[in-house]
Amino acid sequence: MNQLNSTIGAPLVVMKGIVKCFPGVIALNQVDFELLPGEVHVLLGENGAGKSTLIKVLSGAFPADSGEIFIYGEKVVIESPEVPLKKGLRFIYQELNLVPQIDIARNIFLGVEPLGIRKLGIINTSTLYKTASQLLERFNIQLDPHRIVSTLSVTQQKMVEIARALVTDARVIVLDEPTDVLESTSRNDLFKVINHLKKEGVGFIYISHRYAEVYELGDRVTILRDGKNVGTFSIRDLTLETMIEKMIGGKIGKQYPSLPAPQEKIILRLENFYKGTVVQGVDFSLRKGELLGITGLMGAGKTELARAIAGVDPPTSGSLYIEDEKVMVRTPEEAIRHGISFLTENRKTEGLILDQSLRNNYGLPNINRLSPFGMVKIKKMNDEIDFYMKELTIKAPHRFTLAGQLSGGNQQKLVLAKWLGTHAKVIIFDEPTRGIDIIGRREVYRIMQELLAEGTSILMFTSDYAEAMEMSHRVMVMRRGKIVKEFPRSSASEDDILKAAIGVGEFR
Amino acid sequence: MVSSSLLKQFQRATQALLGLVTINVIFFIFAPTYRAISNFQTIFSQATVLGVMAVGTTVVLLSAGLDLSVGSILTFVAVSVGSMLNLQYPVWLIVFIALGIGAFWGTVNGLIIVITGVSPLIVTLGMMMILRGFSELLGAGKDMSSFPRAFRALGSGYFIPVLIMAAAYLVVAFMLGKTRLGFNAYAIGGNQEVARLSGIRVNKCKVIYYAIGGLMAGLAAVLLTARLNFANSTFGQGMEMNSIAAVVIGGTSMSGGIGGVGRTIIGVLIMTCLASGLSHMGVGSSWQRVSIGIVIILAVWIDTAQRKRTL
Repeated sequence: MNQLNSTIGAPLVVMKGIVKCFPGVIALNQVDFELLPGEVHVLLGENGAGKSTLIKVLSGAFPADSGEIFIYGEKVVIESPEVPLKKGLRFIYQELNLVPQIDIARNIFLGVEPLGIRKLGIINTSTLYKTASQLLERFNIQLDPHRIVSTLSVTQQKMVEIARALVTDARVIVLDEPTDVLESTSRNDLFKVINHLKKEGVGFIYISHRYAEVYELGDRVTILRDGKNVGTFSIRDLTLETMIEKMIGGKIGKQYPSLPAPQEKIILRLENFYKGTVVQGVDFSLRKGELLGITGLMGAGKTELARAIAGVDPPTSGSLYIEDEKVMVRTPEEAIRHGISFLTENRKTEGLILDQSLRNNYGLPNINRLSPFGMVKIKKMNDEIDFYMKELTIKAPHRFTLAGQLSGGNQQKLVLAKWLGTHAKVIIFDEPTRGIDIIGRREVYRIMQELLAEGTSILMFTSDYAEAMEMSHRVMVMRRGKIVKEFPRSSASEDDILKAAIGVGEFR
Repeated sequence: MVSSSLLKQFQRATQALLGLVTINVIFFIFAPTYRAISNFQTIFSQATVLGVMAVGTTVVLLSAGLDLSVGSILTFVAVSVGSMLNLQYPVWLIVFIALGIGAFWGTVNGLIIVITGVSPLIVTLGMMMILRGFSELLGAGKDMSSFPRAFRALGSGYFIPVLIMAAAYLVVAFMLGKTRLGFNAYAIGGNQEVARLSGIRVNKCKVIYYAIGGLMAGLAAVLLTARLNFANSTFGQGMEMNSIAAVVIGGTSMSGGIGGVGRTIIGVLIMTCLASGLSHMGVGSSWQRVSIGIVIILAVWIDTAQRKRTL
């Protein structure tokens, strides 16, 4: 193992021989981990490799079965989440952890005893809002601290959460895929803040699937595979190829598959689609077996467009044609009946019922088909989910496992399974690979490829420009609710897309 | 892993059953008169009214709904039944109308909840008061007793009432376990938005669940008036709370999506056995209430703790 010369001082966190077992699985097997002051230590591994488990042991979400943890050289027993919090450790998870009903400033200061703001239990609100807006400024977040969190986009909420972690004197910050929901511009703001805090000696544990980021930001990397520590390396000594190979324990192939050519027939056509002020007159057509990518900045109207087509939040005006027949889609139920399936970007809150079984989750959109006279054909349902579990290699003990017990990638595959069962003509993916590791992504892409070959059409809404460019027959860029540019596959760089998305070189 | 998670499911279902067995063992030892066969006949016949009502409450709670008005629906139906019996309507018609009135008020609850978006707690709290008032108006100054034998037979003894209750359980168990409507109840209770995005007609289903809850309250009213051979507008006060308690003790989650009627029957028996056993031990009704209150909290606590452990 390489020690980093640029960092000095005793380690902030040391984890030794951590073991954690769940029924039937060894999630962590004798894992050692060390975080030095002023470093960004990246934790890498496939979904289910044990990254999140390791973080949860450190955060006190559940105890380790064995092993020792030292914080600032002092041995600690983490029996509850309060212990690491009191020691100045901060955790920012993939999932948002804000109270949606209250405003930004109050969320930022929620539960912490902040900077003398609370004297005698009375909150000095003017200081609270002033400090909050200073904090937001540090990130270049142009948001009014009085705004209620539920009115913010996912990206904005993430930024608020990061601001919350930084409001107190944090010495260790754990970031679990923080940029997955961020635009590249806000990502840069975040990196600036991280680099600034590094100089002050704050240590970061950083989980990310974006390899570019790992190189941009990381100092050292610890790779986990199947609950074991494969090794800790200095980022400079590690090529991308070796890094990925160590992660998956084998050779890697091509990231994006080839796409079968689309057919001539037009399946879906949109005319003059409007949704409030967010979608401003969108027209396009989608051919059979075609994958149309739609990208753009946050707030460009991508998600709103996707939800309007799927009947989730029906459009204000506009027409939708399926195979040249004008159809009304005002509810998800009607969309499904017309052959449109929609995989939402929030699979945990809108895609799956986490405390119910794989089988029942699969049944959700298929229940009408599987119960022709109101009676559910349970055997058929069981057979179908078993088929898809095998077909999509969903890693779960059996069909009655709860969806919440699956890793992110497997959850996404379960969402896919549930919608594949509807045999839709058009599948709409909103951010299909968000929060999914490299292996999971490939599997999602492979499934998309097979769907296209079978003649299914796909609409893919994504903020990952590389994905948009490499996985689509055509890419359309949205800006301010309109389609502003279209590129054929692999004809543009990420930069070209970004320029179109921001509107560089145009008169405003 | 397969066996361990199946074991867990088994544990969850049997946990309430274990509680039921435990309290019976205790009463068998400490309350000699509790052991008599006739006492069990009484327990069963007492359990039927609560049992029928709780089966409806189970459906409502499973779909993450709440109905505080079922006690008042029972009152309203009881008073209506009493009035109709005095008018010499045929018994079969009266039963039919009673169920219809119950289902009607359930439907009204469901429609108000779905259309206005006001929370079920508020809507059914309001409806609880409204129907209590209507019942008083309807029942004022009327002597509603001495019903015909054909009607009394529905609630007397234990055989017919238990049969009626068993039928209600079987029908609803079938509905929950085998039909689209039942699967949708779990889906809507589990996560309403996921259900909606999956093309489930959430609103339509919800109205039906409230209708079922109301219908069962109507059936409970028939059993109760037939057994007591009279009706008045103070009937059924607090029954909605007993009903919710029985469902929750059985292990159905208040937040929806988890549970079933099999557990509810156990919850109902726990509540009835507890009341019977305690009175056989000479415990007064005030202390009985205290004990049942403790059991409710204990049962849900154990259930929540177990659920946490499995996740």
